[in-house]
Amino acid sequence: MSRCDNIEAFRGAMEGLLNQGGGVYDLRQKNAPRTNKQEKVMSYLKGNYEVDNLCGSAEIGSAVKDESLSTKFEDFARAKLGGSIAFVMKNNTFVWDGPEAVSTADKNKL
Amino acid sequence: MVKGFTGLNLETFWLILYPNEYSHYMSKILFINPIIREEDSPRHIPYGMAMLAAIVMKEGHQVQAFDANAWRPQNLERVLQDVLQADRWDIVAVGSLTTAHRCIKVIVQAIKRYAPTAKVVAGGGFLTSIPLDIMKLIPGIDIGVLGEAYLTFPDVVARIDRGDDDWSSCQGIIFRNGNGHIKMTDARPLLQDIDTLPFPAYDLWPLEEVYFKNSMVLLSAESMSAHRRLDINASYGCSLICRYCWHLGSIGDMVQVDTPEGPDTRFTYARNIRWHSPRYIVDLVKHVHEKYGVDFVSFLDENLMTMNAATGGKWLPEISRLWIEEGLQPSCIRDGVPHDPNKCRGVHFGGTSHAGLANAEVLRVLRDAGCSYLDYGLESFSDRVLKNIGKGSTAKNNERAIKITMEADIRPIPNQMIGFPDEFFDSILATMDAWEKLGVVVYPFFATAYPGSEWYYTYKDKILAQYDGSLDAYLEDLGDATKITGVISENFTAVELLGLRELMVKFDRRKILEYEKAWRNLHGEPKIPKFVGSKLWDRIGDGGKIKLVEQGKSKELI
Repeated sequence: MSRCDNIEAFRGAMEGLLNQGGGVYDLRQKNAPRTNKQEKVMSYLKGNYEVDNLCGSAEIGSAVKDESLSTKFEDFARAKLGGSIAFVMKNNTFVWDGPEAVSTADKNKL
Repeated sequence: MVKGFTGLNLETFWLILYPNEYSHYMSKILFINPIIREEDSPRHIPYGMAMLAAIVMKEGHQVQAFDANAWRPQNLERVLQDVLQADRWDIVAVGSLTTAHRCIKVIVQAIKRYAPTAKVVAGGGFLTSIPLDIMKLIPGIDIGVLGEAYLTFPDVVARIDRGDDDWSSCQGIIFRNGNGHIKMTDARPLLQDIDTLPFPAYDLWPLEEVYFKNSMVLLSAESMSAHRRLDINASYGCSLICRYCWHLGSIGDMVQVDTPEGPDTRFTYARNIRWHSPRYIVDLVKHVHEKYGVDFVSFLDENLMTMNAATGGKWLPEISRLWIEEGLQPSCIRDGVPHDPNKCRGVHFGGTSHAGLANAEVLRVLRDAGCSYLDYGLESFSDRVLKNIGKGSTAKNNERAIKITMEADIRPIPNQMIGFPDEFFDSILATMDAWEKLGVVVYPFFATAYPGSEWYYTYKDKILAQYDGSLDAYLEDLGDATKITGVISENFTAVELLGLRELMVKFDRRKILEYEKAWRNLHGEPKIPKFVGSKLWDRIGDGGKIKLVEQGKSKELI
């Protein structure tokens, strides 16, 4: 889950910013077009001012892009599953508790 | 019509026409790449053919290529007619894997009809695996090149240039003599210094028109978003002995045998693996990056890790080091930012690995150079099945490989199969458990015995019985193993395997266990064949009906 997807965290961050300076923050680029993602986030928020487009900032925006590319890959691969089109889910909870290298005992089993 | 004169060989003809130049006559060669994997878009240039074209062009021959697989014309025969009548071809070369069998038959028939004076030279896996059968099934083939053609094909071409019809002295071929009998010559030793090979002739294939448009491969985020992807091959062979696999005679595995029906080939566990130097590989990648703007390279190699192991773990790190040194490292990795396909510069890549040979350090180094996916033939998570395959791995190793590959931020492609000879409910359930635990999302292949593999010889009778005894029908049916063809399972039918695969991917253990009860009521105990410890001669011998042709290189390989 990306930082921008987590609306509660986003709202908390916004509240933190508001609390710091009396609620007058307008650092966003006013003329920059909003992305669908930004529109979606904005639809979740109600308040007495227009929040900054943090989702479009260099740091957060590119992180979102990366995750969506990876998620997109899993979605596309799942839709065309078969043969070599297979994958391991990145968000699975698999925990490996074995050794990093193949043990001699294992080698003898081969 | 130059070729219209019967009883006049090329040498004589050119001597009359061009007395001063005939000795320099260079054949005109047409390469035809047949259609393969029709269910998918064409994504891979015919690498071996591109290499052969580069070799003969370097020698001064005039070469054309018709990539039927890329163009996929609606009326193939009509287009073949046009292509074959477009010039006076001396040689038409065709070849591919077994799964192109049906299309190759069509092409060879067209050659005989529309370019009847051209020599039909065939090669590749489809022919090398079962040359005697292929020469009988496709009577239009004049000369078949056995195994690797890098030395044999130019020799064949040179003989045709000279008008030399004495094929018995040309190593590494199967041919028809003057009486129409099928003959096979001595095996040709493999080219050892493969760095002497030129770069493949990429320009002969429709890169802009077809292949770059199909750059996307769904193996990682980076390969999915590749704009201009090309294939390269950095090595030949694999040191392992998976019983469903074979190596096209490219690693010293091919021996010649005499059978009651005639000369044929068989494949052993001899492993003369070869790899290009890191310098050759990185120079090739740099060449395609600079010339074609390639941003993703797919390594076609059978198993990169086995080559790395053979060099004491030096090969892949050195390739990675040079990759970075030559400026090919993707900028997203260099700068530590997420990959943006529209901004990233450099070359990502993907290849093949092996669960028992991968280690965390090599994976980290590969990722640093731009590796985005590694294809693992994990096949199953049953130790019994893995051992019987000869896989050189265990279920535990498979898990470990997934874990360390994910940690290196490389996508592991967890290939799976069902329908092995010893497949049973226990192996199916063990595999499902692992999928769930590891987060593996997969729709498995069916275990398939392609000609040339050990299991093809083991199960040939069983397979042909499923096709009314027709080898031709089996060859035409073979695809990329995503659909079921000749069943080699000792316990399950095709219908059962199809149903079990559906239940596996739906994780429906209840129905599988329910079916196991019904199966046991009907059949009792399962058959669990053991292949471990089977000897080389078991697979060559065919029950003593055939004998090895003892000759030079072939004998040494045993």
